[in-house]
Amino acid sequence: MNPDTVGLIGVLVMLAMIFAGVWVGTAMILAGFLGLLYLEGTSMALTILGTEPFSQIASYVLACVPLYILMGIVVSKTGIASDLYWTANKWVGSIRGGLAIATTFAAGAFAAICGSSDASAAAMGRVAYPEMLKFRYDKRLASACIAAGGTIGILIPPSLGFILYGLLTEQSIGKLYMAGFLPGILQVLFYSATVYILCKLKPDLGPAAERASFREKLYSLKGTWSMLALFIFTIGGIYAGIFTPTEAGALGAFGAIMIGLLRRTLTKSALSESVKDTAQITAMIVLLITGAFVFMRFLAISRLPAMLSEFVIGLHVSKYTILVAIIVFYLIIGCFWDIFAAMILTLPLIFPAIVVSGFDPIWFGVIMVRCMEIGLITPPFGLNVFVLSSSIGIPVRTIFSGVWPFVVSDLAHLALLVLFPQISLILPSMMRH
Amino acid sequence: MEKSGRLLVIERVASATGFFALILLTIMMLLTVCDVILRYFGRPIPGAMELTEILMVSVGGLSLAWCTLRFGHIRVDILLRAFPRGVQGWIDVLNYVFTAVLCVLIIPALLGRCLQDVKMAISTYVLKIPEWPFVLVLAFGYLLTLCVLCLHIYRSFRERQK
Repeated sequence: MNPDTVGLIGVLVMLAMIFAGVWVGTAMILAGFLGLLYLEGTSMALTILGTEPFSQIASYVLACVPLYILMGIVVSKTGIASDLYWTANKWVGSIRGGLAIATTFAAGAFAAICGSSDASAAAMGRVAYPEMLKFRYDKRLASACIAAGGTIGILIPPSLGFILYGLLTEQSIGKLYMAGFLPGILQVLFYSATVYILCKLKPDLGPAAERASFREKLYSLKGTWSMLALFIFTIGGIYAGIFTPTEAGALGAFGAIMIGLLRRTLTKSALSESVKDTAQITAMIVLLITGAFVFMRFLAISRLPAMLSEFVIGLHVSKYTILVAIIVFYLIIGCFWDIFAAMILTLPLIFPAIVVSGFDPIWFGVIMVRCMEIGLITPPFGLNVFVLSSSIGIPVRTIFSGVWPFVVSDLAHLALLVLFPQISLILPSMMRH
Repeated sequence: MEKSGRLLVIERVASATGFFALILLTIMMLLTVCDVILRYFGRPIPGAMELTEILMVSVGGLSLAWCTLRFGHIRVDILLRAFPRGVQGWIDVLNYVFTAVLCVLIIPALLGRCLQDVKMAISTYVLKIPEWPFVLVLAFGYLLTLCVLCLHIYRSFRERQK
């Protein structure tokens, strides 16, 4: 049998195991091992199985994963979501739909220090939803803007999605972080514009809240400045070339714990829970990364990715046609799959085709993460919608019926990022190395 | 009773190693913070990067069984939801068996690598720390994961009997 045929069978076996409910990491390691066994023999397959789990985990770059996760979990337990919401509320709450706009601003700011979409949706839901109901906001608008706002978490750094992309494709995580920053801010503006237009068309959807004086606005910054300063310090450090992403993660986690303890918003039990959750997610990532690299070794030996790249070149179609096909593919799988599983399963096959087509790998990282973000709020398995539904206790159907304007806004935003790669690439190009 | 006592031991050991991983994670964070601060004063910690790498292996290896105990691994359950609960239970058992097979394959492979590292005296570049103890930690993590998986399989069967 040809090696590339073995590669294809390996992919099918892996997918069959995954759809049969086997853990993604397990399926990748087993399928990769069986493929290696067939192509290279027992000795080589066992050597790779003894090498990859250690060499891929003993990685300085991978060490930033638990550190950013710790930072995010600590931040989400300090009540900062509430502070951010009140600050945004004071500044923009008085305009029509202002509380919903404040929610998207607060979600963006929360994303900048948390990095988790579902944590952001859950935290903002508990804070912003009751307040919007108090001002008679439409339930669909109120819940949908929270679910959509939560998705910003994986685009604005620190983002676990970018770390995984960087690890799997050997791209600079610092550059990926910078590439996601402007698109993230733009996403906040797109969502705010969506809310504004909706409320302009139907004023009953979101009436204006009370106007705050300038003094009140300034005072509202009291609870938030320290965490925002921490974000500027860590991400600014990466941008200026002072820290590596791993160092920034450690400083961020340490800073978040210190701020939480000093402000007495982080209890000992919350800190202990944060570290426990971090260790659990780290182990989950360890199995996934091991699986990804064992499977990638198998694919490289089978030459399947190279064959796919040659096939793509041989198609004689515009590279943008290929890009659109890949984007549509990611938009579809984003509706059904977890973002990390989707990345790890598809990147080894798709990334080589992107590189030979001449697209910038950093820019494609942003596009890919952006596509997967949309899947977090679209039916049937939009994760953020389910998390929010259980957090605030409203039916999933109500949230899904309200998210469509935000999905349209997402698609417009995605189109802008595709048409103008400079939006993503300007900051990485200005970075100091 | 004796049997359930033994099962509890697996859970306790997995939780204890998980707790140890938490401590190592905290050390890893503090080490990096100290390194950055001291570097500012021109005295960085020698070999901080390789210490972080071996701590990362230890954190990952020691928390693996704990994560398995808490059912924390990623799976795609689109098709699973369509099946009745009884079938889902069998699929869970299948998943545990596959992962157990994986552990059975990885443990000897890691031990083989460990022996090779000892023979070739492979160590880190700056601090010359031997690599094999950390390969062993990872192998231990997979061994403990195997025990936890056996526990899950045992419990699944007991639930079916009830």
